[in-house]
Amino acid sequence: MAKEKLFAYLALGAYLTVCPFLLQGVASDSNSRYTQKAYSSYEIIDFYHLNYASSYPQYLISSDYKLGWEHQIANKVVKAEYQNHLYKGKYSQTDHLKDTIELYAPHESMLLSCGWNLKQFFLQPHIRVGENMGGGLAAKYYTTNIVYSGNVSSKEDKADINYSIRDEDGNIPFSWLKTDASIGILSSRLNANIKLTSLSPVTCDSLFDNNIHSSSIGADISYNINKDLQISIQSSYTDIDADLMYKKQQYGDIQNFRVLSINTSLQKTLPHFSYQIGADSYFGGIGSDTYLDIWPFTYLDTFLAHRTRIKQLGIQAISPKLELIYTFSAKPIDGFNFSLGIGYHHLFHKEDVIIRNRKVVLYPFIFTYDTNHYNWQDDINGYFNIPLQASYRKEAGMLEIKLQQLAPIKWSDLFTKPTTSTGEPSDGVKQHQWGGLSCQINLSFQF
Amino acid sequence: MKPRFTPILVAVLFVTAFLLVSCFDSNTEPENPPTDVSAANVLAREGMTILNQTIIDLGNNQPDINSSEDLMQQTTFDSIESKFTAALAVDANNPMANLGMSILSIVEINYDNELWTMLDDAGLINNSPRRIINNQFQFLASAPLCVVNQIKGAKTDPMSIMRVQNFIRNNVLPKLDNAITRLDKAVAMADSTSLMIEVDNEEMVEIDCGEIYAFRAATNAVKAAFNFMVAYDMDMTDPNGGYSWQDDIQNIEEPQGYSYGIYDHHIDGTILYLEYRDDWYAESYVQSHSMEIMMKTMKWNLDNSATFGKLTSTGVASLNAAKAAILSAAADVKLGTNSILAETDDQTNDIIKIENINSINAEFPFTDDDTPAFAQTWQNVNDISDWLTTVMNSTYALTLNGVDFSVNVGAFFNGAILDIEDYIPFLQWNDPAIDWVEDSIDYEHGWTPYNNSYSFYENGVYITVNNISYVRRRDHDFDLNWGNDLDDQGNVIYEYDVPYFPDYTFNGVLPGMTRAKMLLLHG
Repeated sequence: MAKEKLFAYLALGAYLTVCPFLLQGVASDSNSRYTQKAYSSYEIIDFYHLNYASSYPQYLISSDYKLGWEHQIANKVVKAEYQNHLYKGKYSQTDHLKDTIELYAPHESMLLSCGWNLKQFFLQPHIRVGENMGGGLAAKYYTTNIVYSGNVSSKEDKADINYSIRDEDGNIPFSWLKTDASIGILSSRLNANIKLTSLSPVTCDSLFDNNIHSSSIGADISYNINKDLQISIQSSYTDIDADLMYKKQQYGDIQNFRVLSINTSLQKTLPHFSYQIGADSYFGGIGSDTYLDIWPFTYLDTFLAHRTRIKQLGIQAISPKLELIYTFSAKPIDGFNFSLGIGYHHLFHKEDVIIRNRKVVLYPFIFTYDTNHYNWQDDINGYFNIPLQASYRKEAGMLEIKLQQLAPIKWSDLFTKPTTSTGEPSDGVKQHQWGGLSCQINLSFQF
Repeated sequence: MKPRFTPILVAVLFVTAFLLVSCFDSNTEPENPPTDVSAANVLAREGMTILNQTIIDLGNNQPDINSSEDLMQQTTFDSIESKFTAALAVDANNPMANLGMSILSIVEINYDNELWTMLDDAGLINNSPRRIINNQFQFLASAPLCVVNQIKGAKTDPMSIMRVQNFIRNNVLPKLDNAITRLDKAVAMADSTSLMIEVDNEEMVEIDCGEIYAFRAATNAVKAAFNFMVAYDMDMTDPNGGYSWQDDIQNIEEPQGYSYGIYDHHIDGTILYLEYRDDWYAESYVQSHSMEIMMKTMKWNLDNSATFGKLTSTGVASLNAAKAAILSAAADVKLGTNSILAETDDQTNDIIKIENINSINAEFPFTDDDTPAFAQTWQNVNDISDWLTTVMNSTYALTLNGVDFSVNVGAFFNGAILDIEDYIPFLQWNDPAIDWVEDSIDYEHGWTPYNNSYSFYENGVYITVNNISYVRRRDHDFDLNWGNDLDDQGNVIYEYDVPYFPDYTFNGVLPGMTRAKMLLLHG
């Protein structure tokens, strides 16, 4: 049960990373009296946590902090924004707490940009300095009714996997260059964007060459049928390949890891209520020759000769959804504003995961593979989504808090009394799981 | 004209005949016909595929002797061997076929249930690995203890050790020699021939000389262990030369009529004594009496047998063979690492990669405080091989617990210990005519009773005893009182003292060793 909840929370984490963008608040009114704006935001997402014996052997969290300043000078907009983003995770088994694998993926940079309004054009190049360098260019073209936009940017990113298993410690670095290119069109009714993203490898260190290649294409279209009714469609397709090398020897090969997502919704907005119906769908797969040599870095591999093959990673999920949101005020007003919502996403899903592990039969000549099948279609039926947003607005500034909780559910568990307490495993040590919570605090003021 | 024409014609006919005869006689085939390597490879690969799958299917399977499963297993081995034999008939040096025959020999030993049942019954592998696959060096390390266990009489199920030793000499050692001979041929051809083995329809792994050397080292380790097991005569007979002592052990029955729990009590002053037996008391009876028979039989053999505990007629040869096998194993480890480090091909499909050897060597030197001084000098794997070779071939100086001493392992393998009895500690045996097994108090504990009164069941009767200040329960068990350890003056010593030996050097195996040094080494 613990493992099933873990995967449920992690799967929902994917939703949480997308949702903030879907629930963006209304942009604060621009006021010509003010030429400068300072803002700060902090977001933390708790994908999953396991508490066992007063420690946290398993967790996945992300945090994102921004601190920025914009200044409009005549036809120029100068911007500086400090960004600090971190993905952090840990995995160890409850019966081997000392053996751990940790994920650490930081991003820290200072974005500096200067934009020029040139009649119908707006150009805004930017650079990133700091731990993660980058740069890019944004452009907009204004016509009477339509705004055309284009954006190209590139930035460095990195991640580390730190392991400590059986007195063997080590670090596996990953480094890549992420390049985005997008074009968009915005009118009174239509907002459409197409985005291309690619990851290309960057040299890690003298020992590792973890070459990750990824390409992704996505489209995002929303159309206002009338002032109260909006339809939107988002889709994306991602393909990832990776050659993992240690001391010029290959220890892993990820082939054709692909994810397709299609999200549709129809939203009706009333003065104090809005409701949304739609469906999200996800499809995933991987090439059958994907493998990882778990212990290529120590002398143990000489005798273990371990290899894990991911033969199949078939994931299909279709999730119809219904969400209802109550808003205190139809439009943001000065003073206190809040909105509260509840949504249910039912999951029709099927997983077919086959993992094979190599083991020694007669060293050093004869080996074989154990085969393990995994699926979770019987472990989760759907999930609830509860967004809460509260803000305090004044003419010159705003403080906003956004909370969102996702809660997986299996309907049969509600009607079946458990025979043993899920909080007390057989070894008598209490454990507790939670996750699916995101919290964002935004502060801005103009002067 | 006619007379001249005739000689010419005869000469022409002669030459023509000669040529024609030569044509008919000449063998158009060369003296050594070319070897059909491809045909041999096909047969060898077929055999290897079946062998591969058979070993995977066998896993930890241990069918009963002469069960249908056991017989089917042998039939399978025979069919595999026929493939390799056919390949070798076509190409005697075929590396895949030679490798396969070698592996098959080891597998047959590993899954010879008759052998392992005998070894278990004879007490040779009481606390040792039951099999040799992936356990070869552990098996070698446990071999000396197996022999010592015979002297200690630690086995509980009687089995003629002579029968076991004969089986090892006649069945196991020849197979091991055959396996090593095959590996010699395989390693000679490995680098000039690509040896690929399929792994479960997922990938092909390449077998190079390095892997074969590693396997040959492990096989030599097993050969050394089995040679060690047959060096000494450990066969025990009873006074009339038979094995009725084994029947006597089999005939020991658990005593009937014992009651468990509290079976008796008495009062001494105000202290209540409870005599208690646990439910394994009867089993303990059987074990103790079994041990008594075996130890008395061993004592009789030590005193009267001309051969018990002594090197057999081929004992020195067996010890020499064990030493040679250990030295070969050490050499193979070195050959293997050097071979792998010298490889220049793509390492992707190798099992033991260059990086694996580098990773092992990166663990050196060992600097922990617990590491012996001699081990701290090792800089790589080859240094261990060199060290072992030195230890086996010469007197080696060591320091342990601050004590300098020497070891001459070679002396042992050259037959320094002709008779184990000459080197066991000074002992005083009890009279074999009397019972050695006696009831004893294994454990005692007590408590203060409530209200100076205590109630209990004794043999099914509920009893209450009043006016007592303390209750003491004594748990009974059987104790085997075989005798005592003595010092060199014949005085009885405490059982946990370091024993007194007649020769602390063990006839040169530990040159210069004295009791004082041994006490310091013991800590």
